[in-house]
Amino acid sequence: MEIDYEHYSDGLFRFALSLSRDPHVAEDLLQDCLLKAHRARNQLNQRSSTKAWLFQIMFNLWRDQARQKQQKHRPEIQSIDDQFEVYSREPSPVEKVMANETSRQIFLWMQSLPDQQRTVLFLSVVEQLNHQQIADMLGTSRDSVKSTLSQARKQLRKKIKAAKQSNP
Amino acid sequence: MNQKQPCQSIDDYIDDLLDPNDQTAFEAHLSSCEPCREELEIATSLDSLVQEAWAGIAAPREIRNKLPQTPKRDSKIHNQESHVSFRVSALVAAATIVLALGLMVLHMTQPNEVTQRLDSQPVKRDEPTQQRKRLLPTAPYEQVRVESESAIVETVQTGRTGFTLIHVFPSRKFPAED
Repeated sequence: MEIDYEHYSDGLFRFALSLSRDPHVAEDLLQDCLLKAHRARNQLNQRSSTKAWLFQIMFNLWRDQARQKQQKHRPEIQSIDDQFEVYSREPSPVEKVMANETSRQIFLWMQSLPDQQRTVLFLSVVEQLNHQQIADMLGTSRDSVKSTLSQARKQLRKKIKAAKQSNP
Repeated sequence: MNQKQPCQSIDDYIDDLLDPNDQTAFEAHLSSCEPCREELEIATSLDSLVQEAWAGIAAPREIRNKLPQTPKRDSKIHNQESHVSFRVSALVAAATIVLALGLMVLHMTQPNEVTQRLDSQPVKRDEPTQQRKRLLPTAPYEQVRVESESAIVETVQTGRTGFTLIHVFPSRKFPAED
């Protein structure tokens, strides 16, 4: 089975960043994930989604790593803010004016959500995985995914609303 | 419906959890409630805002340059694999044919239950033909009967196995059939 790693690398890196909230850890996770996927590529069933399979590998790697480290060290959100600019693609002039500040703010708010909410929101909204795929990946139920997604959206709405009220 | 209740149900409205009546009531409430309209506007644009925020994040270039390349299949190895695969398929097919032939021969050489019963019973010359006929196989069969002055030869060939039963009776004592 041939896999177009180039096609999935950005999404996998974003997922790693969402999980770890540490760009350096995300880089290591991406490399480990691609290596593991490449070695196990023959196990990829043609009927299953390559994307879901790769994201499952990434999630398992992160979960194993988090268990080992017991997540003693949590990076400061501010350090991610710095890295956000490093890993951002070159924006167009319009994006520079319109989107950059909002995007950075949304990114930071999202990264401050609880782990489960952040992961579900990311997989659903950014990577467009369906509820069942997310439930399978996280080892939970579809209803739980829907509920968590609703909570995450609610949290973000609150933050946006608060920001709008403070800066009308 | 007072002003406070519908505002509290905005989350259910966004998550599409309201029943049709409450949904209609909430939509009517929206026209007169600016905070709810604003929140709904945020909710509808939330997903695209999140997507925009993450769209700017890309994998570091140095990692992209080191992505594993799926090796192009070496033609020599590919040919060898194809050759092995063909040989395995041919062996499996040959084994299946041999097994099928073996089973067919075994089935034809062993008399079935009906013929065993017919063979095991001694021919009673006085036994009515109808009684013996009840023992004949129920599967389609061909019956050939030749009568002469001294004997009657009856062959029965079953359509299923091709097994032939031959009965010889003295003609003078064989009861006539209706």
